[in-house]
Amino acid sequence: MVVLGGGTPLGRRVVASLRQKGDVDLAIGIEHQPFEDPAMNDGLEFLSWAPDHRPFAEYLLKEEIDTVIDCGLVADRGGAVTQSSGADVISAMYVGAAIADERSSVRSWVMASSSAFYPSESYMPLLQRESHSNHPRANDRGASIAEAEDYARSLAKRLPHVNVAIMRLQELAGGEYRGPLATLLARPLVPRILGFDPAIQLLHVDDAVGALSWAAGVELAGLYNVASAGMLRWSEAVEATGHRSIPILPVSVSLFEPLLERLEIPFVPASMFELLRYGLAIDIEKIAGAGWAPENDQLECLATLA
Amino acid sequence: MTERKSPPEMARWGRASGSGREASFFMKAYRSWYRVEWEGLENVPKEGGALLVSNHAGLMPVDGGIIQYGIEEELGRTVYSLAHHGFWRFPFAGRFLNQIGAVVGHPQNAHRLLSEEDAFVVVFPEGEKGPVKPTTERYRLQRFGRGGFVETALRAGVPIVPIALMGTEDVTPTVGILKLGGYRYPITLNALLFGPLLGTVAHFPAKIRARVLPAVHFDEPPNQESYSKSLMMDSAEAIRGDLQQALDEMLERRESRWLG
Repeated sequence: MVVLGGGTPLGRRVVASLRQKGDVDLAIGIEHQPFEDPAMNDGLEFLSWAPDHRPFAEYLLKEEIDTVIDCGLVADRGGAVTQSSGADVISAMYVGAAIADERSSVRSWVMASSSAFYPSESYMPLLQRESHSNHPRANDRGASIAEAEDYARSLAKRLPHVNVAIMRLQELAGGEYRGPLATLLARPLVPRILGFDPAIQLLHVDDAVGALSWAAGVELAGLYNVASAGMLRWSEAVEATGHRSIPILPVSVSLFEPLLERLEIPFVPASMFELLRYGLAIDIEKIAGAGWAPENDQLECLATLA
Repeated sequence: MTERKSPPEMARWGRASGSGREASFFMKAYRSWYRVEWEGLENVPKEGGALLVSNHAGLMPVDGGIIQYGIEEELGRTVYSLAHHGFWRFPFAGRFLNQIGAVVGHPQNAHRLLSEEDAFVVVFPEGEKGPVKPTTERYRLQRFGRGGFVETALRAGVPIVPIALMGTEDVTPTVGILKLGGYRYPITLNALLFGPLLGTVAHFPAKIRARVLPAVHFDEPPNQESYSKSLMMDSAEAIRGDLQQALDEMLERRESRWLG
C-alpha cells in the first residue's frame, strides 16, 4: 500500500497504523518533494508529479502496489483552501491516470476527502447525508473537493475492477492535528457569533486513521461520511474544553483579519463565518452500515483541546 | 466491527427541556388566554411517528405551538414543528426556535424525527401562503404545494393526522402585505395597534378549538426510491378537502370569535 500525503500528520499516522498490521506487506508514505526539515523526511519516499503521472505509474508497477490511500486532500479543513482551486483535481487526475494504466496492479483507491463538500447554510438539514447532490458554488471552499470527487467517481465507473472509496472526513482534532475548528476551540477565549449556536462535529484523528485503514483493508467502494460519534452545539463544545467564549457580532471582518490577528483580538475567520452561524454535522449511518464505527465521541475529541 | 460508542448527552435538535421558561409561559397562555379545547384526540396514533398537518396563519403563528404543546400536554408524546429556514438567518431567532422545539423545514429533518425518533412532526402545507392570506381568506385553505408533505410521510412510513384549528386565524389577523427582499411579510392588525415588536406577541384572545381528524394511512412501503406523483398530489388534495370541510363545520358552529 502507498499513502499519498504521507508527510502530513494524518498521512504519517495512517502509514504507522498500516505498518502495525500484520497483513500489510508494505506501507510507504509518499510526498512530492522533501521537507526543509530533514527529520520530517524519515520513512518517506519522494515522487515528483512533473511532468505528468508516469513516474508514479512506474512506481506503482515496480512495487506491485495494490492499494493507494490519498491523504493529500485534507491538509487543511477544506484541503483545497490553502491551495489553488485546481490543485485537488489535478492531483486526483494524476493518481487516477496512474491507477488506470493497463499494467497497474492497483485494485483499491481510498480518497480522504472532506466534509467541506457540504455547504453550511440555513436551509441544510441538521445532519448531512452523502446523498446531498447540490454542488457547492464555484467559489466555495468545497468546489475543488467536489470536482476531485467527481473525477474519482467517474474513474470508478470506467474501471469496475478498482474499488474507489471516497471518505468525507469531518473536521479533524486530536494528537498533534488541529483543523481550523479545533484551533478555534483550543483558544483560551473562543469566539462565538452572537445569536447563533450551531451544531458542530469533530473527527478524532485516531478515528480518521482507523476509517482509512479499515477502508483499505476491506477494499471499500463508494462515498462515505466519517466523523466521531455524536454532535454538539458550539456552546456545549466550548464548555467541554473548559475555555471561555466571547460573543462576536455577526459581521464578517475579512478585511481586518491580519490586523486583528496581530492585536490578538478574538475574531471568526471569514472562511469559518458560515460554519459558526449554521454549523455542519454529518450522518455516519452509511459507513456504520458498512461495518465501521468510531472509537471516540465528541467529548473525547474535545478533551484533546482542553 | 468495532463496538459503537454512545454519543455524549447533547441537545441534538437544540431543544430546551419541557420545563423551560418559554414553554411555561406559553402553557399559561394556552390555558388562560386561548382556552384551547381539543376533540378527536383518540385519532392521534398511540405509537410511532406521525405527520400532523394543519391550517396556518399570522405573523407570529401560534398554531404550531398550540399543536406541539397541546399534544405533548394531553398525550405526553414528543412533538416538533417544521419552520422556514429563513428564520435561522437572524441572530437569536433560530436558536430560540430550536429551544421551543422547531427545526428547519427540511425533508431529511422530518424523516429523521418521524422514522428514527418516533416523534410527531407538525407541518403546515400552506407554507408561506398561510401567514400572508388576508382576513377575507381566513379559514380558506391555500394550495397545498405539490404534496411534498405526503412524500415525507410515505418515505418515513407514518400516517398523516390532519388537525383543524379554529381561532388561530383570528389572533393575529393579516390586514396587508409587505414585500421585502423577495419575501412577503404579513402586516397584522396587532402590529398596527401595538407596534411591530409588541404586536407580534400581543395576540387577540380568540377562543381556540382543535379537531383531530382520522389519521390517513398509506399502503406504500417506506424508503422507496420514488413515489407516484399522482398519489402524492391526490392524497394532498384529499387531506386539504377534509380539513376544509372540518373548518367549514367548525366555523358554522362557532357562535363567538372570543367565546367559541
